Amino acid sequence: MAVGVSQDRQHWEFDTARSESHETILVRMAKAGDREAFCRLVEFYEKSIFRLVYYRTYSQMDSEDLSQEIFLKAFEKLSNLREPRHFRQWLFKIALNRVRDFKRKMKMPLFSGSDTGNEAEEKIHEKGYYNPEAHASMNRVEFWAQLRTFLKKLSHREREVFLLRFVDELHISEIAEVLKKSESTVKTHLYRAIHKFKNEQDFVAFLQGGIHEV
Amino acid sequence: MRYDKEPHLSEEEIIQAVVDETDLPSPMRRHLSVCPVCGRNKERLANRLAQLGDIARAVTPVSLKGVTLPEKERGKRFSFWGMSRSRLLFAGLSVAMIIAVFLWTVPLRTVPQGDSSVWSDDMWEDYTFMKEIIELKDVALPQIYLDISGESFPTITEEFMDFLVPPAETKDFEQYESKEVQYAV
Repeated sequence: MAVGVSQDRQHWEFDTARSESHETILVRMAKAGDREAFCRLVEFYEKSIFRLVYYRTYSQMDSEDLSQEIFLKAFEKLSNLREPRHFRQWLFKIALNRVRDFKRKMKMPLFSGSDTGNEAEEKIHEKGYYNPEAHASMNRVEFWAQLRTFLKKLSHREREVFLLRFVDELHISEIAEVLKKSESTVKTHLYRAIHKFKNEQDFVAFLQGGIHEV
Repeated sequence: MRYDKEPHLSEEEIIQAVVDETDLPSPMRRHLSVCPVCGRNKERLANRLAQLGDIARAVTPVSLKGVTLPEKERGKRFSFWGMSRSRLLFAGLSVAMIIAVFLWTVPLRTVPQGDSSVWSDDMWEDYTFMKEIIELKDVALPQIYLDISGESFPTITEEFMDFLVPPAETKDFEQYESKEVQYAV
């Protein structure tokens, strides 16, 4: 069954679902077996999870497939979630783990050589996983290229923390929970990542110019 | 307070303020709250980072496929402690088998199997001992000792020995008998 907007849900104000208490109620209902409640949670987080995957795979098709798998896993394992308040962090953690597994599998045949992680990732994109032509404008292509160039200069942990904070919009406490690190560790990685960002004059200037949508 | 007399926040301190302003020492926090130059520097960096996130979200393609959940409703699925029906069946059969084996071996375990050699030895000793008792003769000396002691001569019987050496009681009785005869006479 595709998760769409049913008649009942048309009356639902999703903005109210943003409040933690409402989300907690939905999670509790879903845990009790309420399929409709889980569908609402899917609707609420679908875009965020898709984007999270896309920023790390640069492939729309893979992002769609992985998003599906992530929500299926969440659906199956929801009973294991002890604290409904932490659903968001729990879901993001599932997503990150799934993306990591996916990237590991993609890199597997390349392990025989002396490829570093970045080189391997580059080969993945060369194989067609990254398809800039799919984007409508050159500005978009340029943005992704600049972002990828910048992200390659960060360590794995810095990249993860930077993306989670500024692109996925998680709070530091949430990032710490998702990555199972202390808040001070997260802050340290974030500090280093921002320092590198600040030194990327071309990228900063590009962002300053903004993107002209087609 | 004259904030313009204080040194402005360094680049590192501005980054630290963007990461988490509460981590800054209180004098710096106070300066940041009142100094327009430092405030602007912090805002500029924070805005760039926010802009990066905004653009990333804006240029991300839209998912064309919706998320699909399995047909079977989660609430109606049979599960016990997260185990599916087949796993539960397997677990049940295993437990039944273990119980059956346990019950089957109970009677065997009531006999002291571990001490069987001890009690069979005891029984054998009893048996041989009883056999010896049954076969025991009045004179159990071996033949050679019987010959040496003269016990093996067939002509020397107990009667003969009594004749040779009459027992003391017999002697007295005979004397008593002879006296009675004398008195009677």
